[in-house]
Amino acid sequence: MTARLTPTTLLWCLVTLTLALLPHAGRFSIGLLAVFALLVTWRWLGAISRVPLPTRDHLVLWIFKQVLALAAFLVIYIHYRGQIGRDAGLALLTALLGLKVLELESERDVYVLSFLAYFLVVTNFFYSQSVPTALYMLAVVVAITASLVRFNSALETFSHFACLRLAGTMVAQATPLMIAAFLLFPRLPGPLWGLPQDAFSGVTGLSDTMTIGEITRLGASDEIAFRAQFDGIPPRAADLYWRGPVLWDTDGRTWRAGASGHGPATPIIKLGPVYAYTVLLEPHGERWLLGLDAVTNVGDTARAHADLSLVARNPVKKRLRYRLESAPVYAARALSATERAAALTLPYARHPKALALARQWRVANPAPAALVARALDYYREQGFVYTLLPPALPRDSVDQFLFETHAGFCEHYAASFVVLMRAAGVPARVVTGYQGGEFNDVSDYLVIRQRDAHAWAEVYLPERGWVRVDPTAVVAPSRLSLGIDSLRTARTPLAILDRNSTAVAAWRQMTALWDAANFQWAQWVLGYSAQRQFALFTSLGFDAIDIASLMFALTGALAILVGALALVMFRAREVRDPLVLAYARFCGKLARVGLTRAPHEGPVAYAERVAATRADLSVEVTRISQLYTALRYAELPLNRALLERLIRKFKTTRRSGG
Amino acid sequence: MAISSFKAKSTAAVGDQITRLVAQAGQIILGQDENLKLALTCLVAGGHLLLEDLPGVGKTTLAHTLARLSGLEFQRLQFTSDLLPADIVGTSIYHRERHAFELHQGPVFTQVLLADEVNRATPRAQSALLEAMEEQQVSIEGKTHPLPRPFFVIATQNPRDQIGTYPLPESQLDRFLMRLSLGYPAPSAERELLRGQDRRSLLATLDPVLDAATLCQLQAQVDTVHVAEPLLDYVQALLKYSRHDVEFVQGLSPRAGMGLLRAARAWALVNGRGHVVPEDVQRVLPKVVTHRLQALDLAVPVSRLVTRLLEAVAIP
Repeated sequence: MTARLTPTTLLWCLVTLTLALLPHAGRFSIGLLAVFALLVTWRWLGAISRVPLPTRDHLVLWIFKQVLALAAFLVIYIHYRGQIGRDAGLALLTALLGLKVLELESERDVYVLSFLAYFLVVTNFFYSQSVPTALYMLAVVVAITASLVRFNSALETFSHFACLRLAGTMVAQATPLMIAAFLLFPRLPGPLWGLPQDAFSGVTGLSDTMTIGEITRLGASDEIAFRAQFDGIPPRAADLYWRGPVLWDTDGRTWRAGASGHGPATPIIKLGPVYAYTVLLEPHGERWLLGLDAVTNVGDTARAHADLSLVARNPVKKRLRYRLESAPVYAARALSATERAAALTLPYARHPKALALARQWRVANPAPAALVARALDYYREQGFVYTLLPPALPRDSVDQFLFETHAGFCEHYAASFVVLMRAAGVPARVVTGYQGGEFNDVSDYLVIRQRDAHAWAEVYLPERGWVRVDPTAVVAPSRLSLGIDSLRTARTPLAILDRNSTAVAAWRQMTALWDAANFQWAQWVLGYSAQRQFALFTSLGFDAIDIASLMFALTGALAILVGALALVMFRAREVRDPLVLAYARFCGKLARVGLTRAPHEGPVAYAERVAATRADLSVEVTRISQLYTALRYAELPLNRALLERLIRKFKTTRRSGG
Repeated sequence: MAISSFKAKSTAAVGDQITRLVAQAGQIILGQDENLKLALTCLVAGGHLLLEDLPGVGKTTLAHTLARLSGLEFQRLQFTSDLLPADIVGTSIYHRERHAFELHQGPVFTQVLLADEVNRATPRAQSALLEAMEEQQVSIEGKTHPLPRPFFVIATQNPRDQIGTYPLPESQLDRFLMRLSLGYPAPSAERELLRGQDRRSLLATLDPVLDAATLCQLQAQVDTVHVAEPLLDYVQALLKYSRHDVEFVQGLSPRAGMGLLRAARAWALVNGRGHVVPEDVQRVLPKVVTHRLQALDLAVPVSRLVTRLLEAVAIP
């Protein structure tokens, strides 16, 4: 048995294992990768040359191997500081796989390694569940299967291509089973196992604190924050304020959400049309959710706070899909005493210049609405500019911005405006979120990217309640009407091209298509949750689906699929004679005009029946059937190609001219 | 005349000759061309024929006509309950002048034997005939005597008349290649029958179309009719179905299968074809298998089950 592991088969194993590991390359330290590569090379050299392998015959090398294994444990333990998480586990698996490769000798080893390679494929999905990952991993699965085919083909007579083709066929045949298992395997309401702590270490997104200068990082990011699909026509672009965390508390530099707005939600008054839509939120590791300002119906996933911000029950650690209803034109009149106090609080002894200015305005005109107008006029008149690369504000950020630099982006405007309002005695708060979005016309939904992150202000006017004031809009109206792209300087290679050129249009179309594919993938594959599974079964007319009946359905479906597949393959083996296939095509053509051949009907009787009903076809049909009979039953050495040509040319539509 | 042309053994020529024979016989037995052809097929296949019908529908005339047109010797034997085996096969009689026993050949020593009302005789007499049919020879007092070639038995029985009869057991029915029923003639045929003269006297006016030697050649030629693998698949599928179908008491025997194929070959030859097509099998199958099968449910006619069998088995 051991003799079967020839260098070629070994190469298959090593290559497929490496392929399965490849996407992880960027996730490990170089040292680990180097060790793995060395171990694989060592095994390969051992197969093709006289380089000794660490078997029991070479005691020194064998001891070296044991030491290596211990060292791997130790190094990984120290490197990950004892944290047994996803990364450490994978690093350990990789190191041990490298050592296992050294031992690769018997039939059993090949199987163990192949199955570990399959497992390695699964581990990739801990990091990425995107379409390219899935496609790459599918290819790797075919490659691993091909390696097993190669190993099991008698005397390894299969060519490399034949191995891959057979493996591809097998994987294709398994696809219906995969789909059935995907649809029917009971989905648990939560994740099957908790993702380890380190799973969201590198995720960018809004946070519920805002330090001046932070959104800049987001401003450069093309990453998708969320997608929204409206049931009907989406609202106009200027109304697309996606509400995120509302920030109440500030220390003069950083704004925080605090707890002031976390009271129970009070109903708002709708003053315009209500839009229903579905949000597909990318994971960001926090609890807050986004909704079009202002949400009137939170559905069952989200919970609304008094300040109209939304939160989920748990931190969003995987893509979350939820439905909301919103009224972009609304009135929110509730203001509790706590809220009023919080909305007027300013940090002690900060922003003296701004406070002085605001008091001055208040003396001149104490009406809140007039104060808002006065402040907006200030931005307009003092030559403020919108820029994503503002000068640094090392001292009192608000005063420096308002009186020295006059350059900033949404955060600067929102924060300084709220400070001015609070100083003037008007309750105000900062709202963060996203503004706008790009419409994907392939699948009719809006894509909101991290660069669409925005911050604006809300003031409480006694006669109107909370009113949105976006000082950024005063300075840079195009930020809202055209989106942030209009303000960004040449960062992408395409930006140097004319915005309306065909290349740009084609590029946009391509990205829209790609994103639509991703959206559908996220919507239907990744987002296939317990609720969706339940909904699917309800729509099929089953109710009260529990795990037991799902398992029953799964078993049944698998049995039927395997049976059907076996039957098809069995049939396919039977009917392989090209003559019979050609005749079946001929019968198929006649069947389409209602002259179906009964299974027990002989070719002669069939031809007579056809000729009796369709005199126009009788000559051809008789000829074909005579030729077929002569070939099949008389087995005369006639021209098979002629029959196939006749059948190919045979048309049932022809009518005799006279 | 026509006899010599048979030596040019092309299958198409055989077909023409058979057509002519049937046309001739059709002058005597009106409106029975298909049954005539089947009876001829049975003759060409070298099998024996069982005619199951009411008296007076022309069984004897059919046998006579076949014998006459084929140029064969003809004997008729009426079976009765007191018929002894010796009455069929013959006996040895002491010849006083020559001081030796001399064989007195019974009616079985002929080329076409019409065994009328075969179910009226005792099983002993029946088995004497059936042995002769199977072995193509008879044993008289320990000596075997070969029968003339070709040897063709047409047995008749009346299905309605069951009192005082000994119905043939299945094992013996199996010896008959085909069973045919003539049935009542069609109205137009009957009209002509009533108007015309006696059929037997007409028979004398016919000239034979075949002779014994030609018929033997034809019988040998049946073996050369080509049977393709797919057709064997079909025959096997039919046999298999009969064995698995729960509506039959038991399935078709291998002998029935061989008979079916031989009958199909002969039918193809009679139709001037050198190969068997599924339609040949379908045409002869009811005649070959119906008398060999029994329905589990006696209320269901076997013929209906056989039709169902043909419809259930797909042609591979």
